[in-house]
Amino acid sequence: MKLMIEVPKSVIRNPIISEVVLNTKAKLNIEKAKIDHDGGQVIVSVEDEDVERVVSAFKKWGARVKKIKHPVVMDDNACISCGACISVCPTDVFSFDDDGNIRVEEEKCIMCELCVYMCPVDALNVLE
Amino acid sequence: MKTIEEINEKIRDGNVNVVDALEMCDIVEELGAEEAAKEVDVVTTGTFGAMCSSGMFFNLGHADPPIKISRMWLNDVEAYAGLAAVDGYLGVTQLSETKGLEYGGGHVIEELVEGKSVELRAEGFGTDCYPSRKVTTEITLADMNQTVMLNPRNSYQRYNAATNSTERILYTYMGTLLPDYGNITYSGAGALSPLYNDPNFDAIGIGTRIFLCGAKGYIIGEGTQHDPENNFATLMVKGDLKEMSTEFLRAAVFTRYGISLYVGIGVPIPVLNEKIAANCGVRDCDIETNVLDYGIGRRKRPILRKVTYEELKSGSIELFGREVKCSSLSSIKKAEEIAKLLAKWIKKGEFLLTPAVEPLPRKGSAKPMKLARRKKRASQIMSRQVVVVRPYESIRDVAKNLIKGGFNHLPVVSEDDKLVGIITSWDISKAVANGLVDGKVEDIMTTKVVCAFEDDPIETVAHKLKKYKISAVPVVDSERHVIGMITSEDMSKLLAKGE
Repeated sequence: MKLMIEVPKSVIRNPIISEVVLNTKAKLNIEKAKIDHDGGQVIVSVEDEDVERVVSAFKKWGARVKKIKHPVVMDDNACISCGACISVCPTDVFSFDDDGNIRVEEEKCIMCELCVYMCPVDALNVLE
Repeated sequence: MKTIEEINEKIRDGNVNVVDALEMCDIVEELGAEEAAKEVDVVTTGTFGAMCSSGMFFNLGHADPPIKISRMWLNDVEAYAGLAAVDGYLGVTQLSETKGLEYGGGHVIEELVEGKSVELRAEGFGTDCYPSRKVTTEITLADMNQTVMLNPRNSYQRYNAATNSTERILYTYMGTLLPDYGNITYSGAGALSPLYNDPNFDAIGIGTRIFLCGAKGYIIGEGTQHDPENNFATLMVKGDLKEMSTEFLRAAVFTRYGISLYVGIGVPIPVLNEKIAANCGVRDCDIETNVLDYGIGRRKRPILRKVTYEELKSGSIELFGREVKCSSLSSIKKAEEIAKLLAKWIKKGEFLLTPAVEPLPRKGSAKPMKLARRKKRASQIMSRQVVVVRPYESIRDVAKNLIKGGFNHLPVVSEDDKLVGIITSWDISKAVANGLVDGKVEDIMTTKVVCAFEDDPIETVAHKLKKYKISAVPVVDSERHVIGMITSEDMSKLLAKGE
């Protein structure tokens, strides 16, 4: 599962990720990270069985943690099944199914948003 | 040999044999063209792609007091009003004056077809017969008189595939093109393409009744830029927006490019003879197109390779020894739906075929724009006296050269005289400051060299200087041999001369 972690600026100078990894022994895969004057926002993916421990470990630092159930969402009514999203996606989230509809394997998504900009009919959104 | 009247008779009698263009491929292969022509009466085709050259003519009806509209906007998107008092034309790519690149004519048309009302804002200058100067109202498609979709260029026979050689993402009408040939996009329905199934216009022409965005429409002529000699034929079409459906008409936004409209077109091909049947047997593997480099901002973009629609539809093709993912911008699924729906209409007797009153032109190609003053090219302003250095030369020697020649930039070339780097007086100063004067050129040269091509317009050169914040570019030929240098000083001289 993917988690979005918002770290308050008061603790931003601490090695939070390392501490969480050492304490929980969970494997974190950092998908995206942004740190600036206002705090930090990190998106990590974690094995499902580690989720709760990782969440509480981050919360000890005062971080806000949100479980990302659907990193990328497709609006079936808007989609015209052109497949433009397929070639821009770096992790092969999109493909055609046997009926020529777009299949979305959202667990592969790293939320880069390239597909959002590509989609000509505004059928894709990242992070819900 | 059959006639259209005979086919229509069969349609009325309910025993017409209609197949779509994909089914026809197999029939022609199995039975041969001669038998297929006897067997099949109509082949339906379809395409659903972004077609920028589209729009609507409309008549608003007269206001009271009447106004002669000189400018008007629908949801802040300007429509052309240089017609009679309350006639207008709204093009799909026209941008909203408030929402910019996110909303445009395509959206207004989609919303109208959906049954929504849009805000009409109109201005006039007031005349004796049209005293009113301003109108603002809400209006729907049903409120208007005529609402004619009239698209000057639709249904390209095929289209070029696009990729990007540069180091940055390009946002184009062919979608997002990733750097360093990161992906390929293409458009067109391939074997379902209306114009590829009748490439010589033996069966269709002006007056052919077609499927247009869910309604009945007509081919009214060849499209603009019709280029049949190079298999880039196009159609001009019309239909009534009031009968259309958003199933087959959709506004599109191409990021940082603008607005377009997905238009669904299906053309029925009457199989009048063996030759027409044979042409309808066309498959994706028979239709070739070019992969073009959209990284080159010129009218003639370099062709990187030829490719068939079969290869493109497979999902990836090889380019420079690498597998590159391809994706379509037009919807093959929708194109199939259109071909199947049109076949259904014909079978049910709801859609009769019309003979063409004129064939489409079989000759002609699309000319480039005539420019009164040819733009200056890099090769016309570059200095040809270029001193080059080799990567193995010592920094100390190069420093002497710089001072002697009064240069600030020295291109570095390999043994076969190809550009491999650049070294500037600033690089040398840095080397001196860091105590590296005994090193070689290759230790301190910049290897990612921004360069110009000999036929780049000087605007492109100026753009590069500005974008990369540099003061000179080497000019190279197609094999990266350095043939000149352009400095910002050369550019300012041009400006001073008023060029």
